[in-house]
Amino acid sequence: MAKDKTNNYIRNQSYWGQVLYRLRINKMAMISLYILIVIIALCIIVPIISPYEIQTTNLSGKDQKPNSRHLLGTDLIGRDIFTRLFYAGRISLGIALATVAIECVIGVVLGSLSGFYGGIIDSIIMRITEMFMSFPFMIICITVVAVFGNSIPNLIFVLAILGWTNIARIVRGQILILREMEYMEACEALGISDVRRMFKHLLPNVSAYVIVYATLGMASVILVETSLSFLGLGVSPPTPTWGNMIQEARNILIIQQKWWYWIPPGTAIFISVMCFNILGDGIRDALDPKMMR
Amino acid sequence: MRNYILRRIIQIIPGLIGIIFILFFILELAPGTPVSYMMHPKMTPEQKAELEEKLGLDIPWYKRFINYIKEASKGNLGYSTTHKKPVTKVIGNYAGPTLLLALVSLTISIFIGIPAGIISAVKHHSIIDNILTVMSFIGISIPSFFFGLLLLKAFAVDIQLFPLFGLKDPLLMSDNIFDKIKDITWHLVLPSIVLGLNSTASFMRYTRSSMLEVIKQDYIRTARAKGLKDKTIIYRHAFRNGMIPLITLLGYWIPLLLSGAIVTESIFALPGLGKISVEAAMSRNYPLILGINSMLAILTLIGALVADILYAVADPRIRYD
Amino acid sequence: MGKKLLEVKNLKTYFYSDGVIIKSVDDVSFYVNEGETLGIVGESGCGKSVACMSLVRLVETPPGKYECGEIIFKGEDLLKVSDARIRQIRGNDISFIFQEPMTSLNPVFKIGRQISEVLILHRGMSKEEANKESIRMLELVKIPNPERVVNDYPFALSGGMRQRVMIAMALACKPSLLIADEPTTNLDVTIQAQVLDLMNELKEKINTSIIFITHDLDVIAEMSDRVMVMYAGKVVEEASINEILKNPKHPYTVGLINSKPDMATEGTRLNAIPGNVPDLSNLPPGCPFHPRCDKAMDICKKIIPEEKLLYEGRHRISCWLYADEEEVHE
Repeated sequence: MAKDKTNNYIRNQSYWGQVLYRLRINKMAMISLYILIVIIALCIIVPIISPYEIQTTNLSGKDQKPNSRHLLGTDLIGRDIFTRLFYAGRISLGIALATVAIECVIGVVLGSLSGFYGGIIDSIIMRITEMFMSFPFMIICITVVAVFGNSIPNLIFVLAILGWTNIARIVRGQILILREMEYMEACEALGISDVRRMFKHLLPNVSAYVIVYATLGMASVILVETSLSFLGLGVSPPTPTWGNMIQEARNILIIQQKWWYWIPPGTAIFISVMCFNILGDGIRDALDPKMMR
Repeated sequence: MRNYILRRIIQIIPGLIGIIFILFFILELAPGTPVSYMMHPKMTPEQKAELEEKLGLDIPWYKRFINYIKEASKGNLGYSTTHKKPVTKVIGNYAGPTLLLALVSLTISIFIGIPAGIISAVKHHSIIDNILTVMSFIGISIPSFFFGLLLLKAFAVDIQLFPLFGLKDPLLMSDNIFDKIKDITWHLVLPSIVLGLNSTASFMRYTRSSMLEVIKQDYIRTARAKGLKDKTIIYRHAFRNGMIPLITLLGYWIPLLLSGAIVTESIFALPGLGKISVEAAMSRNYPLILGINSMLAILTLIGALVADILYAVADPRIRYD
Repeated sequence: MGKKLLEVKNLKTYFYSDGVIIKSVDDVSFYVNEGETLGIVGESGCGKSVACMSLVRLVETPPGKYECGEIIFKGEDLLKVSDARIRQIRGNDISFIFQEPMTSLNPVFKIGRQISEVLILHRGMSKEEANKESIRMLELVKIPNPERVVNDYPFALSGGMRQRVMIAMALACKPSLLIADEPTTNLDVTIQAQVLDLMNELKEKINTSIIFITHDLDVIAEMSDRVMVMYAGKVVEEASINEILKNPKHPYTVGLINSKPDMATEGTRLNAIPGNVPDLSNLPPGCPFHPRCDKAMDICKKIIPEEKLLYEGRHRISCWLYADEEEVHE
């Protein structure tokens, strides 16, 4: 009987209700979501829970292994690594969030224009998209950051400018599919204007896929940003980011003997990227039960 | 088919010019010039102007762009002042390790990622599938520099199985060719694993979802109704159909591998393109930046072309004319 | 009537998905005689395809499961034989033609290779022999230029031609039972008639039994000797084709016949059966047809009717309306 109940429950929900239900029963995705919430919460409340200031140096208490006073130990100049880790998380996650937000705006606007109007507009936008996709991503990033400077706004700008193509393509593809559906023709017959049609009917459908690619985009932006930091081209110290915390530890002695310098930021990157990837995948499966993998 | 290939090769040229144009534009927008980086504090304005003239920076950027295209079409990509060599020579000198690394990683990814993806799809929802899926998530999520450092710590520092960095052992005295090959191989093990991990995981995921899609198709039911063995159905009937989307992926993968190589080379201090491109960007070596970018763009575009051609070979429904 | 070639007893094939049980085939029994054509009619989702796929265990397990039953074919119970044995039977003794000619052939292999494959597998032919035989089979199904077509890929052929290829492939090993699952549903009407004629002709030539699945009573009338009507995973009625058309008993069968355009009197509305195909995971209690039945009684809503044999076993029926009629066992 319980099985009958779940079955009826699914059937009685709205589209978003069904998506949420299917997401909720996906254990891996839900665990990822909770982990992300915890990480983000810690980043927000770190000034409250940590007795240490981000830049407080304490040469007498430097280079300590993790202990009860310093959960993750201290670095060479006595800064608390736990505190720095979550301050760094603010920067790394913040950059990713801003980048993905800009990517979404560019991607949705260009993708919608392309999919909706088709014809010459579509081919111009698609050519531009292809050109951006054939850029050697990492090297262009390096070049731009090196010549323009590695301020946080510059980083966000570069990453967003090079990263919107996926969202634009998926939006365009979804619009092309939806346009063929009958209800759009019905709208046309009823004389509903282009703009209204675009916003009222198409974007809610498309938004689901934008959420998927935005979530997966968070993962890839974190990876690229931390890689740049690791190469010494990201945000420059003393502002901590997960990438430059590892970069500061690039010394064979530190790698060998002082694991608490570099394992925490590495793990933080790894866990957040993995959670965003699993969550994004989970949302995609929840959107389309036929594709349930 | 031949006409199609010719047409595509011709189409590569405007794309390439576009990329170089944008690069010129970016470099022009950048504050300061390379000279301000090379300048000695005591340099007089005259000396500065002389240096600018020597580097060809005194003429407007669009003229330099046209000149660059003209020279590039003759195979001259300019002169790298830092290396005191033509750019083509510099790239040639450093391309070897990068290409070797990328090739080895790609091979690893193909031979591990694709079979693992097939097993995962065939044993859908089994324990093996779940384990492989979790591993693939780890593979696409772990930052290569972090994974690289972990491997370094475990295998080069703690148990000292592999060398720490570089491509060759500077103390190796032997002139024996086998010793040299062994030395390079030994140095490439960890970098190849680091660079290959992400691709292996991605290939696995793509193969799995592609095979799952194919297994649902009607012609697989037909094959089963014929009385064929499961192995024959998977490796003969499903495999070829499942590989078609992967071929396209492979073409686009080459530039991604080369981008990944930059980080990997940096971890293991390999003398490759990644190393010189970071150096070129830091020291504003414009000719070298342009040269490396053009080369990678050509590789990307050729990769896409090769993918399209292979696609036509694998899928009889596609015919180009 | 000839010997029984196949006898299915109390077959149940259920699907388990997302915690829901779908009773696609629920206690179905039937038989096929040698040289006979049995038609199975019913709306889509009534379990007719699953019943036939179950015969050679083509239903994927999981999510499917053969709950119980016996499938006796030439003295063997196909639900019990080994996987290797069932593969020997598939495509050799029992072969299939499916509904979707456009997608049922592998797009990346040449036609010749796809036909040869069965011959090499079951007849042990060499590649050359199998290729020659494939050409002969294509000739038999009246495909023009068979020598050229063996080297074509499926995309080069029309739907009708592809279905002929499917027939050639299914008949290549001269099976004793051919299962045709809506083989003409997706074809144009003229092509449909050609394919049906071809099947009737080949049936004589090869002397095979056919199970013909369709939702179209006209096609059944043209093809089969005996008809079985299925509803919601159960057999509701079974009799010879003439008997069914002249003397339909079950209200569902009556509804099917009345909803055919040419059966309705001119000027009146078509008598479509009211309501929708039931949800197999959530069937009403009692007779599954009662919510749509215009003759439903109280008992229909409570208890599932048992199967009865009427007229000396010539007419099988499962309906409370005939509860009082005298049952005659064979």
